[in-house]
Amino acid sequence: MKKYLLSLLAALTLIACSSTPSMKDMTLRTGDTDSIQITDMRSLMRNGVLTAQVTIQNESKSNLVAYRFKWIGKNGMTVTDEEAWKPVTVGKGQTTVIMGIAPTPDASDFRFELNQYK
Amino acid sequence: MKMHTKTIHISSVAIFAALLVACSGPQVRYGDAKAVETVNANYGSTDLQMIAEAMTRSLLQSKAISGSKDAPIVTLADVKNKTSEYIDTRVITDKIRTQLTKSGQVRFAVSVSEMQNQTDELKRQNQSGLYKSNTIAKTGNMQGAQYRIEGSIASIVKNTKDVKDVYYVFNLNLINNESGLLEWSDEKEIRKTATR
Repeated sequence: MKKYLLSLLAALTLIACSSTPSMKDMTLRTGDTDSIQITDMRSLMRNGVLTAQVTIQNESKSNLVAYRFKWIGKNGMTVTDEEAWKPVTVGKGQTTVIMGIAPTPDASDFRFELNQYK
Repeated sequence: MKMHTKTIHISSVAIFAALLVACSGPQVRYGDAKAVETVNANYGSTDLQMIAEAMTRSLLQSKAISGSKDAPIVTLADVKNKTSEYIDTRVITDKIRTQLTKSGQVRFAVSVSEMQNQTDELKRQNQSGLYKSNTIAKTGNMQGAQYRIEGSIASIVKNTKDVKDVYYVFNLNLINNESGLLEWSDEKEIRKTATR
């Protein structure tokens, strides 16, 4: 009986943990952005509009990176056109906080995109 | 004799191929309109996009816009170019206006520079006598804007033999037309460095 309950509990926790995507799943990388690590990701509904905050840290040589947010609404549909890539300067070992505000109140989720620029 | 004709054949093919490559001319390719542009340290498309996006998102969060029940009516006023470069500030405010209208949270009234088209259209409908009277847009029914958006862009440029450093600061204000109060204000700073 105990074994059965234990395995049921393990299965439930696995299901619960898999429903929220990890920070890695919420980040889309293109180009060479391996030196940038995502250390924190959080979001909040403020004034009826989704506000997202991502903390990134540059671990090695500073590459030129650009970021943008992708805002997702109902059914996983993207809410607006692609945003412009915004360059960000992060020195070696430096941590910086990037904030993004959704363009419409329809956005309920977001993804963070990183790209390298020349 | 055989070697001669062979070398002539090979060299003629080689020359022909070289001519083809040389005469093909410059290539045209479509790029990504949203990509970061780093051609030089002057004002560029990435600066325009960054400014418009930052100002729009900040304005959507302001109390005047998010706190009102109906979408408030806003009009665009002048954005002064205080830099030494030629910057079309109208493009920046048009971009902001487009993004705000798409969000559905703000309504825009025609601005001063578009008034001529508006009055021409009203005049045409009301005074030409060509339109059915119950389908005419009557004069005297235009809605006034409650707020106006105005601002300025300034820059500080520093040059040495090896480095050119350009710093822009874009400032935007939302002013209540009736009370004259500043309801919202924000700024965006950009720094670009070019090394030779």
